[in-house]
Amino acid sequence: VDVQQIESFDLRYGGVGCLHEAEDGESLYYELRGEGPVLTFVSTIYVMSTAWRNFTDELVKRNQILTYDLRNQGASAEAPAPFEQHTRDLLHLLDALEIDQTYLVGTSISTLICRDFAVAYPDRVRGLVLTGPSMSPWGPGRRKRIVRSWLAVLETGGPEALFDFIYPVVFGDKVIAEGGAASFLALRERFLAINSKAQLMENLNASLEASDDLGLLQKLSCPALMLIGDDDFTASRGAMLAMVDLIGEGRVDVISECGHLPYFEATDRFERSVQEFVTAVENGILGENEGARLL
Amino acid sequence: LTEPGTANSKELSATIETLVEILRSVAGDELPSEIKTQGPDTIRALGLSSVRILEFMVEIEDRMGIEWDEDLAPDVISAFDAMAAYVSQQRPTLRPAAD
Repeated sequence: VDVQQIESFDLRYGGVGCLHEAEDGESLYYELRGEGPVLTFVSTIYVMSTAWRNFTDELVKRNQILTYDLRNQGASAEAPAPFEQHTRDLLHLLDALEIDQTYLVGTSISTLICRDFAVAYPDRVRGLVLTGPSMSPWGPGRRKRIVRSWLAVLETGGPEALFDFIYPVVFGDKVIAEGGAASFLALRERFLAINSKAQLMENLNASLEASDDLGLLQKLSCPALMLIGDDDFTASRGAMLAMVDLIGEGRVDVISECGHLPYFEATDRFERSVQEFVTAVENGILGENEGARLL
Repeated sequence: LTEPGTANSKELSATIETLVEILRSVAGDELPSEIKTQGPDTIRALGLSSVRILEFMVEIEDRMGIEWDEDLAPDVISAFDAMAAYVSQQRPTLRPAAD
């Protein structure tokens, strides 16, 4: 495996990351920081590897943080691929970095990648952190309808219209009210900077290929933290508790006054929740089903 | 909304200079020593994270006494000269940025 150190690959990446050559020769950008249990953050369309630096200031003091851009995203190769390719990419990256076991932290659509990886390679996963998961204990209908509606908006209005559409959905009331125009404009600017229409179309369409087989949750053999905001548009406390029931081991943390992106909206409580879960797993004190906590 | 011409070129240059100074105060070590400020996408090309862009915009509000309009076109936020034109329009009398 050829891992190429890059010094000035892309200004926005600050020269702190590396390029990994995936099994088919395409490149994946990644960053590895800190020491301790490995936490691998799996990016999604709103969040790329570099953004996690802002949300892991505390976690990196006690853990090793691996972040990477999915293929066809950010500084990774612009190479559309089937959704299942993300699972193979992650395995190849962990192998190359000689990481035997990791916690997987997913957000929104990328929680599906985390789930699929943990089912396919159970020995490689210490625990799952599913943040605002795009899966339901009752079936796939809602997720797929949401993605199709986003695709329709994207098709007619492009990335700007899609952002207008999703902003009031994914962020909670409080952040929208307190953030005001500056928050909306800043987040839109970043969204438009990192997402072309073609990439969004390809990546959202690929996400429709993800399995919604409820049996996959029952096949998980690692503990899971379901981490949601109490103002999340798609993940409710009741649904998360039902998912832990299916998985068999884990807890639900609900962060008050935030929506679908608690790491952005309440970074300190997000980091605390993740750290407490990792500590509980490492010390073997996580209960089978600990119920829900409000943070 | 951001037609240049509401501020003269000297004012625009001074505003651009102030914007760069503010950006350096929030994202100093993430920026190159030379920053291009003319033409489209000069801010976008810096590849700042959403958190850093937000800090930049809030700092502009605080230090330059303006309020952002949610209906602004994306190209006003992505380029120094377009942003300076908007800021100058909102704040006709340019004052030195506060420390």
